[in-house]
Amino acid sequence: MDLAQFKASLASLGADLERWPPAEAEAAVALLSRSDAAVALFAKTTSDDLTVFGDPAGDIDALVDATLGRLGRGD
Amino acid sequence: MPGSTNTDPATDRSDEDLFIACSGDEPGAFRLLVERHMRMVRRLALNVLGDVHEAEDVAQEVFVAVWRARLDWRPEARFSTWLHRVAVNKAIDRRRSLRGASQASPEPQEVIARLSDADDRAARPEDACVRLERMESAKSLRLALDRLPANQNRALTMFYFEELDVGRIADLLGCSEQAVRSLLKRGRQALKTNLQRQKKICNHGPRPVQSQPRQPGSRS
Repeated sequence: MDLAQFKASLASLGADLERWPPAEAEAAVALLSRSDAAVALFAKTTSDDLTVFGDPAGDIDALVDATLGRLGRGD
Repeated sequence: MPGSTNTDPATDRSDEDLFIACSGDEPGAFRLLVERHMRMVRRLALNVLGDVHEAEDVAQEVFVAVWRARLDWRPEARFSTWLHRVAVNKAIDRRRSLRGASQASPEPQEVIARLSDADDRAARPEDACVRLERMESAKSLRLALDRLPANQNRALTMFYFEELDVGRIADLLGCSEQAVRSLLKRGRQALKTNLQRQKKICNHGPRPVQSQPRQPGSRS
């Protein structure tokens, strides 16, 4: 997969790779691991998706506290 | 401990400024950064991993790694660009290790720890404001969807709400997979525009009741 194909797939399917055909998702992961431009596109689409579809995963405060707690314990 | 004190009320400071402050005498600056970016980092990880618990664990690892790198970090690129790269790398590593270990059973202690974490999270009552916000978002999304042309509305509804794959949607709509991708692309774009327009209208409408702003560095 090249950057143009990745961009086209993101525009159609969004950034949730679980919703992509499996082979296409694997190719996207391979591209993401080697291309900063792909990460930038992925982040932009992720941000757009958050704006449009919201964040069903919910509570951020608990996660922030857990993260800072982990740092406090020196994990 | 990072984030244990409220040292900086200026939440409009740049990420780079805050991150540089973390390595000095402003431990509260890191809490602001984590609060500012956690949602995005978790979503990036979730988009790679497809599992909320794994994504949350990776999101924590990302910020631990970022904290540890603070002394060596140089502002050569935007903080968020670097953070997103760290998040995607960690999520990909986790994805690969999960795929590699998918045949093996998890260690009993690992299972207990995960269940315990899940219980802790489930036990936290959802904040009423968060619930209201989510309902309002769903309502806005439904309104924006209803304004789309029928075929875009159907394709998006089947893809996002019924979670059908592109091939199945093509069968149901009697068109090619390429045509479905094109409908999804145009629908996503139109949805975004509609929601932005709604937001503008709301911003010019009656002033909503504001909840008490959360103090930076405060705990929920």
